[in-house]
Amino acid sequence: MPDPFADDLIAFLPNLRRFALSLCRSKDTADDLVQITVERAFAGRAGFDPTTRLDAWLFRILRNAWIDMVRRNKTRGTEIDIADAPDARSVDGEKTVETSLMLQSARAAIDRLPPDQREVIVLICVEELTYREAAEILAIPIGTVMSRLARARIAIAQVLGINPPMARSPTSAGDKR
Amino acid sequence: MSAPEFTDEDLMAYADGELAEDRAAALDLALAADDALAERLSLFVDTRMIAADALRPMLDAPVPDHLVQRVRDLAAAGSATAPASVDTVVAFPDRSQRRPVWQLPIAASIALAIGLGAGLLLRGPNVPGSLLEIAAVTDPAIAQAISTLAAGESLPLTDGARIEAIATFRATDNALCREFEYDQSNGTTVVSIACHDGQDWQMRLAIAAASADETGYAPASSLEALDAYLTATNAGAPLTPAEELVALTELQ
Repeated sequence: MPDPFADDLIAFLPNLRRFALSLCRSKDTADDLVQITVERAFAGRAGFDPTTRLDAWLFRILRNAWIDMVRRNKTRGTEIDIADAPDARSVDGEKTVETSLMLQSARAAIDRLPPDQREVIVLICVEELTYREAAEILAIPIGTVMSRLARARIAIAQVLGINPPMARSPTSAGDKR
Repeated sequence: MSAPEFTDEDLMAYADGELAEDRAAALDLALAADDALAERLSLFVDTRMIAADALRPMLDAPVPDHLVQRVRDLAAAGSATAPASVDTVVAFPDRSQRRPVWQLPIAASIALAIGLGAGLLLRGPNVPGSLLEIAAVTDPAIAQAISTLAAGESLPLTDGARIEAIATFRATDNALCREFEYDQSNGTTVVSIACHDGQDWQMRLAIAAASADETGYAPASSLEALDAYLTATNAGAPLTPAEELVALTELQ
């Protein structure tokens, strides 16, 4: 019997794995997190409001599972080098080397962000959630989401050298050392 | 009338389609006349696109079969038994739940002093010098500066020091708070939050960061601690320049 909920969930598994990996940076832990998310999603599907976004709901379950995991300290010692993480650099052979290098640098810059900043980048810039949706998933005020997101993007831009150092406001632009 | 000012967060929200309509309309106008502003905006437009492109290949990584199978099994199990009952709703954590600030990782290279409750009076006569050498604590010029500077404005002080107002927000007790950076002439930057109790500015947070780099900004590690503090205290969103002006005027 077709189950659209299951189909949607399967279609969304790659996104869940990507978000999980951005949180825990370990492939095995990421898949554990996705499995827990899947199980909790089915257990709680009656509580899902179909008028809201399924992706935001799933991200929230996943992040809560991650927090549980951190609390139980199960992840100690499981971190691996991000270079071992799922990657499909071989897939983009069509692209120019230049673009590929730039995106690799961007990936590395995102990997190096503090976890708090990395998750807002993934949720908003990559998964295209709104500030409010991200704030609800992360259980933090929107102002905090925005401040982390701005800092993360300025940091990425600085690594990539895509813009001169930024002023925080036009009035202070001239007096930076 | 001077041109309206736009913070990085305004520009970012505009790039993300999240800036309030009236403010976005004002920014539209300003962008047409200001190349530097357009360049600042492009940072946020570019980084969103680049971040999405950089992480897109991760979606192509094959999903392990066991995960797909798990979904199918659960779907089958669900349809074999009764429809999902309402008492299996996932328990979400209370949205007010916060990690306490002291549980968050804080770079060991920074000294952290939090004025809890009583706080350190900016103009207080008996400031313990043992915590941090924060000239801001004893200097009326600092109190004056954070009572008047708009976010983003900076003011040179004596001895080559400099103070920059970063943001203004309301604490949960509705106290008016300023985030500011105090660059001492010895190169140390103090990232601070002070809140006004109706009488004086009280330091609620002071992070003595390592020497500021050539950009004049405090290093990212100190901002993590700041973020942690803002999150832990459930600080309100930054006030807009107009709201800030009203709030600061009310102090006078």
